[in-house]
Amino acid sequence: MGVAVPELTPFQTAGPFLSIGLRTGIGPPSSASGEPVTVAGRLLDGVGAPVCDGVLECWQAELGAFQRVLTDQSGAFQLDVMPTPFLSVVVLGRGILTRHWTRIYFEDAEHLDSDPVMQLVPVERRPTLIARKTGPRRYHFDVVLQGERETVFFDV
Amino acid sequence: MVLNRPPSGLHPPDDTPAYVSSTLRHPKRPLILMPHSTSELSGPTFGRESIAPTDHDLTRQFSSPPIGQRIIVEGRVMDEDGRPVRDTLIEIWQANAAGRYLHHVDTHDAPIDPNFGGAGRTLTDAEGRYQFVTIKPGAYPWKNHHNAWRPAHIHFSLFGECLATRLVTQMYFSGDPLLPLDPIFNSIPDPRARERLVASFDLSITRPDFAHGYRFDLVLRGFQGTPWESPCRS
Repeated sequence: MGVAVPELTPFQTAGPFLSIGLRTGIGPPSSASGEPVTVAGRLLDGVGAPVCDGVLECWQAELGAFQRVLTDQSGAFQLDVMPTPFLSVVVLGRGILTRHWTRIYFEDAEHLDSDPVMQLVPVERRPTLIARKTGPRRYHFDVVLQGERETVFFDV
Repeated sequence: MVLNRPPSGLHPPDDTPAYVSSTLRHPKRPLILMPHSTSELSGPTFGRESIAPTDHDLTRQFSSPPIGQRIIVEGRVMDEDGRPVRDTLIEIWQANAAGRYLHHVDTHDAPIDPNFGGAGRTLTDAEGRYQFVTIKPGAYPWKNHHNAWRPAHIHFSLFGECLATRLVTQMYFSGDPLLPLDPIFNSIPDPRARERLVASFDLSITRPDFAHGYRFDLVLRGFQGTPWESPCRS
């Protein structure tokens, strides 16, 4: 009998109780110095209802920084990150059978439209990937899973 | 370096109507194919200092042992070429033996076990191996459809070599009569892929006079044409 070729393990949803196992505050934190910026927003479903049992995981390759945050009763989340051109974001939760993968770009970043990934996105959908500046070092970004304002998600 | 794309039929479709919660939580517009760059081909690593000695043993996290049948869940994490995925974080969570989660959202009328939190974590070793000691979780009802029951399962979360190899899944138990009825288990189109989530009883893991053993191996995405080198951690 030959050695079996390893075959990929399929995804299953993280379900409604993910906060038991997916502990927040796990590293690695950013080693970069400077002042963080805050990205605050809400995770919303196809009728605009808050997704209060989700998790967002944010990765910044340039800094080697990882952050995991849970959404609250109003679907709200807050990421505190050192500035980079964009954030890679993975969304998990009940009703999400695999993971939804998106990016958060910053409104006032330079050369947004020449970003190679942004260029893959139809112009009219690009705004869904851009965090809007709401104050000093503060941005707003909703992750909308479905509907009119649906965020662009990627096949990674 | 090219990360393999998963075959169709492997992962559940985002829109799985039988799993009602997916209805409003899946994108309807086409996903945009992302070419893999450093952002996807790198990912977080977690050190051994972040793991406490009883984190992998869910029966020793409180003052007394939990109620339930003690089990050992053991396996290997590897990539599609069979290479071990070493030093990677595995997080698990599960219901107690009565089918109740220690979570404010869980209102199932089954007892909470004050000696069971239901969360575990560990890092794989140099051969990609891991082990958890826990109790067999109970099945529990949910509101997806009339008389719906989730089969007994343990949630698994893994990172692998980079963010793009991240996997969240569930481990089931062989012989569970609820499996053919479960819309989440059945959301995986390929029946053979489904079976990979069903852990089998393993006498070689079973420890005499202590606990039943179950084997659950996990396979993460691999890389084309780079059989012996890990491209992610540069």
